[in-house]
Amino acid sequence: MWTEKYRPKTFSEIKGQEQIVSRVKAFVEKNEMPHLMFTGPAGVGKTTLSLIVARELFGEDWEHSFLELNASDERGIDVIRVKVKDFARTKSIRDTPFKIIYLDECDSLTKEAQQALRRTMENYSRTCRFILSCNYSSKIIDPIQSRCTVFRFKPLEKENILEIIGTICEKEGLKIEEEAVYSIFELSNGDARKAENILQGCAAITDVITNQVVYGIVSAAEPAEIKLILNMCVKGNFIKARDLLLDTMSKHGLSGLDIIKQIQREVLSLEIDANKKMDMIERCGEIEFRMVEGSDEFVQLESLIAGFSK
Amino acid sequence: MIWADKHSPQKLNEVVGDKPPLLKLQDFILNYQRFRKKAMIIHGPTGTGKTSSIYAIAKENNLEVIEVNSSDVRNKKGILETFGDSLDQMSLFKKGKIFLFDDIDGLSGTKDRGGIQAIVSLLQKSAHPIVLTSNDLWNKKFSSLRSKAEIVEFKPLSHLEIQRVLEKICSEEDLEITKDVLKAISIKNEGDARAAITDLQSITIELNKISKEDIENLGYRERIESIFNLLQIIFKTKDIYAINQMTDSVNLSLDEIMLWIEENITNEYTGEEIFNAFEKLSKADVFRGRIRRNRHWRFLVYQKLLMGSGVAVSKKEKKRNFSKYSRPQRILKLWRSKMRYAKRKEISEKLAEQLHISSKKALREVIPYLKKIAKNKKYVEDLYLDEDQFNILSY
Repeated sequence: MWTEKYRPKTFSEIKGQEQIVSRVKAFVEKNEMPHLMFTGPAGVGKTTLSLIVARELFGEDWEHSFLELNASDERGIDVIRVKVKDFARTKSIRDTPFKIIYLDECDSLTKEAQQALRRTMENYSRTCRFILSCNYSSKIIDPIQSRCTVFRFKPLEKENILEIIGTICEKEGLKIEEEAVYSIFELSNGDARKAENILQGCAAITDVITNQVVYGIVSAAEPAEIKLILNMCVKGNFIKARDLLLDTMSKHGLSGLDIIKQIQREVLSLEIDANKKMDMIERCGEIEFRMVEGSDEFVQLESLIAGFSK
Repeated sequence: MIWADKHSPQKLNEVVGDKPPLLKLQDFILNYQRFRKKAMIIHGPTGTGKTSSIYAIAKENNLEVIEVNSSDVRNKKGILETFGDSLDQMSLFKKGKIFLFDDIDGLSGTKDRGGIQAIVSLLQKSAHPIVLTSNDLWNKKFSSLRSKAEIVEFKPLSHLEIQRVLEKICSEEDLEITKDVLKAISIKNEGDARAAITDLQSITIELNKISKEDIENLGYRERIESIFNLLQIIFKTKDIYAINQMTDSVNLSLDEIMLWIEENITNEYTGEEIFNAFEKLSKADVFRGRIRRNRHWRFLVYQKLLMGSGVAVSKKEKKRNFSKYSRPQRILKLWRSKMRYAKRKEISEKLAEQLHISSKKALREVIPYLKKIAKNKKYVEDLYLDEDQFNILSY
């Protein structure tokens, strides 16, 4: 996958985030580093920078001194604690002043888990440095923030994304229309991973990428069924809407919450009376609340669209 | 005394149902020496008179019945102990003997080890007719038995035949019950005479006079209700009390019942009624969630009332049309897709490792594009997907 193939391997290859990169580089050059916290949206270089830090600090067999964990996958702080403990305990082959533990998606940790994490950070701070990564620093408790140097990543600038696209197209021998490049940027919202995935999706179909191809890929990846379902509802066709809803959920493996989020977004762009729109939004909120409280997501969704269809 | 026993037939011609199988049974018992196969299997649903007819023949002809039924031990040893010695002995007080293995379906594979072989071995030696009864003759475990026995089938009884039985009992018990009441009981218990007799007895125990409504009440009290009856009363009436009672006597869990109700709302209701009904289901589900999370079982009351009676009062007027109810489809559908989904999860875990992201993110953000990217096979070579996983992607 291109997202890995074209992931920057050195500080100089990173596009954007210049200030952050130069400060982090300074740590590496001094061979000394505090705990770090990288916050910012997806696909802007948080993981990439962490990997580069490890490579620069530890050289070739950096993987022995670098532990990558994902807070949203490693169920529960206990799993994390055990892994951290095992990792911190063993001495690495190379003589490095410390090891690095990279903990991604920290936002998904509960407050209690974060308290536990804080203890873990303290316990192993003599031998390990933590790099925590999250989308929103506001979701991280103050005691952890105060132990870290916080870096706020921004969405990549237009020129950064254009540069990335340009480089890849050149190396892969692709032709791309200028308009298509801009479209990819617009659709990516400054997320390099998404931009590269769109680009590779296009390249899988054709060597000459036009605007049309780009939109084709994106709309196929972001299903349009929800809009269809809502339109069926508005026309009062509950049964059809429900059947399509069930099909969509099972085909794409979507959860009830995924669906209701999409419905809420789509309602805003429906072509109906503003008052009715707000009624629907209110209903969305109520049903989302019940979904969190209840146990059968589909019953809740049925109730939602039954309300839209009446 | 249980009426089904008290009023069991004393003579073969009192047994209701098709005559030919009955005559064949009688012929076998009385003239078994003429038969090459030394045993007869009677099969048919419950309450069709399999056992009663054997006893009726025995009484009429002064024969002794030696019975092993599901309550006895029926492993090899038990069977040989019960039958072994008497196989070739004559009956002491009666003219002859019938060996009866009642309800052989109950022979379990493990506890009654060797039971079926033991029966087969007895067939060769017996000097008396052996009769076996079964509800499920075509079960694999009976294959060795089937080939060595005569087979007779008893068909389910029609409601008219059952009604004749009930009428006879009424006259013997000196009960005055109108014909349409008996008819209602018979229809309700179509095929099963024993259940009908039991129902008749239950209402007469508590009531001196019987009306049609009593029969409806009876059902909810005495029998395991079928889900169809419950759906009928939920969708056709607004009888909150009956619905609530009936929900308890359906032999399904509340969650299953809820699925049945959910599935059938659109078969009965239209427009605003659909919305009202789902609104109630939605609230019932919230209580269910609270029960699960907080172990607050008291909330079951609200779940039950909202999903049953709540849906019932969602209608504008009582429905009178005939409706067919369908079995819940959704769970099966979701289960099937879960199988596919599990595969996708497998892929996303693989991706997570290689792309430095969480598997959730891989599932949500990468897989939709990967499906497109995978159209060019060389682009996904570095992911080391196996063929199965690749096929899921291109699905």
